Amino acid sequence: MDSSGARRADLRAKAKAMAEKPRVLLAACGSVCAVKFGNVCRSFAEWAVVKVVLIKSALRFIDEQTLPQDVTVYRDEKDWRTWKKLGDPMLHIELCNWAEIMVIAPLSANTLSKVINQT
Amino acid sequence: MLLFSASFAFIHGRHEIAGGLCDDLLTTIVRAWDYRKPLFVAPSMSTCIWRNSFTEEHLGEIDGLGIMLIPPVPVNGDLERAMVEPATIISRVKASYKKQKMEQKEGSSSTSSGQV
Repeated sequence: MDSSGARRADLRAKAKAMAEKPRVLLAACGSVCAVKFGNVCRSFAEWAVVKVVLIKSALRFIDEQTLPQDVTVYRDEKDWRTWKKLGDPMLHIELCNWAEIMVIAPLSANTLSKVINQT
Repeated sequence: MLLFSASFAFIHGRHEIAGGLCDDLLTTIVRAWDYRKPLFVAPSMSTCIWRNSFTEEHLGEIDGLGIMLIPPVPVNGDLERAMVEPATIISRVKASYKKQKMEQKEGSSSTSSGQV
């Protein structure tokens, strides 16, 4: 009884800790500094639940296979794959709803201007 | 010197062009983002672009949206403005998150979007 009770308490504590981890969406643009993105990922993965968005130009500098394994990676072409008819989920909306924090590192001047001109 | 600068500009421009001007998943997410939640950007670009009037204008606009800027640092004899080190980025984000959680626990209904 004591032993199983302690085990249940431990599992509950672990589940709570996992639930309390921040949900972070990381993104990278096509810039030479994107080579540091792997380190950004590892730093955040130690602290948070991480999902990653990579645009095509970022893939010139980032090797997806070097990213931590517990990180989910999304690329451009996945946005429309889940959508076939009205009511189906849109990836970009799902990610916006899921994430508590978003970090774009690095941000290129190109993406900066696109973000501003479309806001 | 001029030839080097021209070549450098070409290489940089090609990378940006390769990114394409069409909408991508990242831009779409930023457009859909709920700005009551924190969004951080850590820019990286050449110094001449960083100092350009367009860039200055764009940075002012993202500040208006409440997007938090983590400024780049000069490298290569100030030819480039490089993204800060990952350790700086995560410490800034953690500090902001901790502050936000404290405010929520205090029952404050205001949303913090200031610079940390």
